[in-house]
Amino acid sequence: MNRPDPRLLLGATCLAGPIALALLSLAWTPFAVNGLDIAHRLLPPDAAHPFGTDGFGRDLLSRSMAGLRATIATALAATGLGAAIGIPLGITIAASHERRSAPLRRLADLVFAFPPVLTAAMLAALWGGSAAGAVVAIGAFDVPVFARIAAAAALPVLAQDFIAASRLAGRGPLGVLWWHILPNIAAPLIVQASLQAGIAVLAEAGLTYLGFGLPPPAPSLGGMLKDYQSALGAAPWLVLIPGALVTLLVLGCNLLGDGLRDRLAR
Amino acid sequence: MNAVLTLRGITARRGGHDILRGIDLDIAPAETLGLIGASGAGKSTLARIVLGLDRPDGGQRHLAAAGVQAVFQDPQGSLDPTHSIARIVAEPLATRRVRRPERARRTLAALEAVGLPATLATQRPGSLSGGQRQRVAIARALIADPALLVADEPVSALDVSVQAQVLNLLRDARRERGLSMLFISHDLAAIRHLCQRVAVLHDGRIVECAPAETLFATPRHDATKALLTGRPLPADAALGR
Amino acid sequence: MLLELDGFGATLGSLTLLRGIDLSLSPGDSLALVGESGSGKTTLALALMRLLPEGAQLHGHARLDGTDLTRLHEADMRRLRGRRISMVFQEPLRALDPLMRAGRQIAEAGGDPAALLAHVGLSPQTARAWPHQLSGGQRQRVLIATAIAARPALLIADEASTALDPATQAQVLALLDRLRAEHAMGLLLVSHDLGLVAATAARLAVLYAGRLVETGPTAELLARPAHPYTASLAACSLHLRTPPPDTILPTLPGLPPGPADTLPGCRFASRCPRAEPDCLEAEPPLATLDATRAVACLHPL
Repeated sequence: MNRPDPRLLLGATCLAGPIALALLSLAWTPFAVNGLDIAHRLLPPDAAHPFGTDGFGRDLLSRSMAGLRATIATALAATGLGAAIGIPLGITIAASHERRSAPLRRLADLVFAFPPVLTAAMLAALWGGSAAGAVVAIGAFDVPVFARIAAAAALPVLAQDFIAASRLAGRGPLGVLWWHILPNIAAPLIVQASLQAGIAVLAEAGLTYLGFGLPPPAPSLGGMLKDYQSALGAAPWLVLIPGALVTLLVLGCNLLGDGLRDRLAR
Repeated sequence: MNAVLTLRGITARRGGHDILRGIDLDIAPAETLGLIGASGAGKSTLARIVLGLDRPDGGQRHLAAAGVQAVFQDPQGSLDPTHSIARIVAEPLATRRVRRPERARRTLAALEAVGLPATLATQRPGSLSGGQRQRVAIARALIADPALLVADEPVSALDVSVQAQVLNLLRDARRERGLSMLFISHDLAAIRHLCQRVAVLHDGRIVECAPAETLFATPRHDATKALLTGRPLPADAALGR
Repeated sequence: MLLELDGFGATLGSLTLLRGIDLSLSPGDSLALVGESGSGKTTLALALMRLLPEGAQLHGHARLDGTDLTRLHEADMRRLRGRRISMVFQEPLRALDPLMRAGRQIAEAGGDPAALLAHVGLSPQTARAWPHQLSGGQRQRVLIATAIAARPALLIADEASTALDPATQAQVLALLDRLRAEHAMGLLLVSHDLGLVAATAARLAVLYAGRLVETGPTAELLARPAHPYTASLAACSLHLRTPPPDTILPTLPGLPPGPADTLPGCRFASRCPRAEPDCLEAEPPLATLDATRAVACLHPL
């Protein structure tokens, strides 16, 4: 009965490697991330450079590690931003009177109607391409997603007598939210957060590819795909490896989300 | 003596309907007032207003002393499934910033007072029976020494064998602590057993309010008569045929 | 005999849900299954409808008009359900389809909405109403109308009146009793409160922890209960006698054992005021007291 869901295991396995590499890059990379070495340019993977080198002789493993770090950090920050604004917003919508929350609902719909690419393009036009711009653009897209899930999950919880009992015990609105509502709606939110993290990885890669994210030379997986696409014929590993890492992260997040959904649903 | 609760001209509208049309009610110290009425008469709306959970659309509510607590009908929904029993019972103390050792001591005392073993303290509501859950709810309601307890159908979801235990607990609370109580139920036998006075809510108004014995012996209002005669005394009918 | 249970039981894996139930019901007769939560009364009702969870196994015999329900194929059972044997549930809002008008639900059950609504004391306009527009009592009546639409020989009512206010409660029980008499229908009431069903059921069957502990005519059983558990239940019910106001009520402390507890001896022994050492040795068999009564107790009252 207690056998872990194979999707949970597989998802965790998919994520474990990339996350370990990203964390390791904080302390150590085999070569300098932006260290040029023209003599060893476009080397295919071998013992010294397991992922090969790029057109400037930069070690692709080191760049991938740093790129993973940037992509994962952006995805987590964007998902966190979306959750931090979306969840309280959703609970507020659920708790307030239909008529009073209508403007909030419309606003959420409006934000939802903007694709993140458009938001990011607008922000890039204002501030220039930046990691913060990508975080805000993806986070803004996540806000209504979390708001909807939180509102739908909070509605039945708010009607429970233990919410009334907690108010009688002297808890204010924030106390009730923190102690009673959040723990009771955590399951669907955790599931959604892992799915949104997967979407954010893909969105970050996409935005950077389009030039709206982290500016070069700092590596990110999307930026690497953009930089190396012209070398696809000559050095296919330069595109395949960052592409595979993006796939691994997205797949891991989705498997984890699906597994958690069944495990937490009960 | 001064009333613990005073309601004057309470009105409430919900969804375009007048649910309460001017309620005047007093509850004296250590008095248990029963509230009866057909389904949809507005009993639960009135309970939420007395508790201060909802605002009335008109009229005044005055509590003489601080502290009103509640015991609800559904013992499953009134306990947060993610919290331990100890945490649930201690919540009114936690918000009053009572220090931890003191909180733990009073929590165990409160559990003991409702006849629950201390071993339950670390468990979650899901592993308790309906009767045990309702006792936890009573322990939580009494731990902060409220002046008034609102019990909204506290026994109707429980087994007969457990109903009597809960009614005994509520009776003890009134006698030992001088607790005032608003006891709402459609179980006339429970009302009759526990309440000194009974108010009849009909069509948004209190149509009759009298000492329990008087009300059950000589109901005056038609709504009261309908409620009381709705059920023939089954025991008599069964034993007599 | 309409319904005949003979050593009827149900197991789910290693759990014994019901064991050794002997009961019978004639057409036009009424019987109430009484006991606390976990006594097996609802399980017995669901077992007769063959609505227990997947994997549950039935034992012994349960004959409806001579057809053994325990041996019947699911397809044949489906033909009986709602036609020969029907059930009214406690929570009418959940048992009615919220997206279907009342009249259509009755028609789907195979009956004439106008006639059946009149039969259960509702106006013909009720046919046009959605379930959420009806009061609790009206919903329960609509549910009863769907349950009797196909003129079942046996109607099971599981706490059908418990959630209602007293006036409506009495009306619903009176309605069930009238339908029983008019259609010579077997009526099986399920309740946790002896007092609530005492006026409607001619006979009582008291269940405890999945076993039948006492059965007999209602009046005799209430006047002279033989099983200590029956006596305790009756003492707890405020609806059987009015205790002096503001006194301590008799209680029945403790909890019944669950289906996973496999203790030797009488299942009630741990809570029984009359328990003797021999009660813990073997489960007492159901023994007849006289022509109409039976009790499973070594030291009956």
